[in-house]
Amino acid sequence: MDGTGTTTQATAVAGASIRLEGVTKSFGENMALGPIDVAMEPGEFVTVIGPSGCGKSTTMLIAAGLLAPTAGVVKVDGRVLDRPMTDVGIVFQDHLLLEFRTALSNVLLQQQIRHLPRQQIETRARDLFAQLGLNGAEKRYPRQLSGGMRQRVSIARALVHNPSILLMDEPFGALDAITRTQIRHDLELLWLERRMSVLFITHSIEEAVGLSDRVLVMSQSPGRIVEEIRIDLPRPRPAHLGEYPQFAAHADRIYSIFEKLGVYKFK
Amino acid sequence: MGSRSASFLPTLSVVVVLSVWEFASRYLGISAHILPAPSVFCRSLVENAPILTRSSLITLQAIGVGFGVGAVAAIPLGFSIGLSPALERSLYYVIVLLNTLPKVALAPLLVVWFGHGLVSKVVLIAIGAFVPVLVDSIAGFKYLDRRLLYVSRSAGASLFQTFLFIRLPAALPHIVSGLKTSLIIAVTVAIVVEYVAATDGLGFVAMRAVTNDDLPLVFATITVGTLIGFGVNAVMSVVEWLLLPWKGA
Amino acid sequence: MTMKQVWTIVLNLFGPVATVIAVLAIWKCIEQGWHIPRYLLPTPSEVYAATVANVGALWRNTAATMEIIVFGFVVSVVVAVPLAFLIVTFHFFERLCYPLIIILQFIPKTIVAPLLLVWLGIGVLPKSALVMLMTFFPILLESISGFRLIDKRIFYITQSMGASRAEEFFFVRIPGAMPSIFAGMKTATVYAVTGAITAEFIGSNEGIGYMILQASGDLDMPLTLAAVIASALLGVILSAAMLASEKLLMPWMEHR
Repeated sequence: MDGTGTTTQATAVAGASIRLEGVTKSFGENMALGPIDVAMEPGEFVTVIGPSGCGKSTTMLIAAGLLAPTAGVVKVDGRVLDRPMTDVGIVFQDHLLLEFRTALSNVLLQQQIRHLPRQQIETRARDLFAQLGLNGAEKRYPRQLSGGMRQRVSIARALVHNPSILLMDEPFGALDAITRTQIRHDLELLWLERRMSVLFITHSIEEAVGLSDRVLVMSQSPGRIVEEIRIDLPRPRPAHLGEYPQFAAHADRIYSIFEKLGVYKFK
Repeated sequence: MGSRSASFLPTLSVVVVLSVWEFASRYLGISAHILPAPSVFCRSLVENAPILTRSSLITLQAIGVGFGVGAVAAIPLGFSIGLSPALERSLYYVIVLLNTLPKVALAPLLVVWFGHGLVSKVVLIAIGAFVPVLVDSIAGFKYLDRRLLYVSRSAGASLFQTFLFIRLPAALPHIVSGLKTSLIIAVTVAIVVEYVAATDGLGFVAMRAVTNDDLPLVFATITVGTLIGFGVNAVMSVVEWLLLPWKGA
Repeated sequence: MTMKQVWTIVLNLFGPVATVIAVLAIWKCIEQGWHIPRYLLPTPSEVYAATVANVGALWRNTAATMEIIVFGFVVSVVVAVPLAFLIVTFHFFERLCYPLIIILQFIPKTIVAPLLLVWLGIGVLPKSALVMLMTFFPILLESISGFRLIDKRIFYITQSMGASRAEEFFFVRIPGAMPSIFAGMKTATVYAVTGAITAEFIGSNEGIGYMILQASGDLDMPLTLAAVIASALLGVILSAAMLASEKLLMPWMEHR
């Protein structure tokens, strides 16, 4: 149930497939989302991009089984999801760390609630801290960390139990541009090593193109997927994506979709 | 569905409590010397209306004067301490001590010094009201985004203008919250002085009712005390609404 | 030691010393200026002598008051914190309790003291009951805001971990609300001492409030002042204890 059947190496994680089939969500009379269909292959990195309030976050909560869709189903590895998914790590825009726990102990909350072996998880947590550049932060409280470091701890918490799915809702949205570029790269490396399936929500075109295998562009009210773009850039991708002509082409395409949707009004 | 059902349940719970109370004291043989029915102490409230009104006014007079003196002394002092880190540092322990001192302990002492009248009440209420207003005005004047001062300085504001347009409005929410706390303390403390020594006032009436074993009157004084607490709160809410229109209601 | 450290120490000492000198000066002026009878305005040395002479009684009465305070305070916390949790968790409970809480909050608590005396007789009970009444609302209201303050989205994450309700409660809600609960308890300590002393004024044969009232009735001003100082120390000790346990229980907070 807790999806951490891996008693072997931390690197041996395979992703799960996720399918959203005809999913809609209404709040009262108001149809906020859908119908949308998403099919994610195991180990795929999929980004959903769209303007504020288009239902991106709702999509993610539905995919996690944390919010019931009004219509449609979510299937994980072919099975219908009818309760909160547990083989998953979640990262929100706000770090949502517990202020009363140290950085390491925040990550070890996974071990305590899932009743996992302490030694093994602590070793994994320390490895993740090293990979995320959090050395020396283990015993510090969230308020003693910078915004970027807090978000890194939050990522460590989402990955320490080796989930096959990672859900991220604008995880870098509150960070400064420089930190954002670095943490984007670190996340890509972690994904390349583990190959969990990632559903990544953002409104940054640079992040979408810089990270994903596939970008889904959403429209507003009701939120629908209007375009799907395959990103075929080599990995790991560089800090300055401008060196690829394909990057400019992909970014251009997303900008023009946004303009067509009326998100941008350039004269 | 919203607002009507929202006000229904609260009203219901009050009505239920009062009815159960009335029923219990009438039919379950609970003595009126322990728990008089609401109807019984309402009658006492009406019968004793003159004395209750007179004594409430006496208590309110002491509260008004004492609270005024305490607040008027506290706000300017809070302003100076809030603006001077050196003054704050040096008076820190004095203020902490003043804050932890149980003011009512002074009541018998003040009665010996100032007699059984208005003055001992006013002095104790003033002391009690002084402390929360002081603490909150210090906090209010102390925490100000310095960039606001850069803005006012670059606009060529005089010291007085800076005070009037920036410092005072920024401190007001804290001051008002201090005034609210201190007004409640003022009522609480006033009653204690009347227990100890006064010859009139609401606390005195309550004590005498207990001595005379007149429990309906005890409940009547509690009701009047609650009304005073309610009224005092309402006044402060109006003051808050007038002084802090940007906080919204 | 740097200049700055020296300066801080000087500042820390200056205020208290200046205050003591000012109080003594005013004391002296009143004595000289108004020709106050000696027995009404004792000198500090007389207060000291009274303290030494009555140290046993002072200690016994302070301890009695302390007992009442601790008892009432503990009951208050044990009732208020779970109630706050129920109010925040169950909407039904909130709508049921809120009007009563608001009405009860308006009652100036000290006016209830005579009634408590009639109901509960003379002894620990009515006094502790008043302490409880006076401390209940600050603790309740702060606890409610503490439980409310928790960002609900953290429960998305704990649900994805498969946490039970009980695990959510012990791992997230209780420690998350702790700083607010403690803030309420700190406010409540002053009220607790006030409540105890008030109850002792009107119906008691022991405790520091009773002692103050007796001594002032006998016009024994040195002893009255000694007892007042003892009651102030009681407040200081309780506040210090609260601060120390806060530091111990909540190492993640910034403490002054």
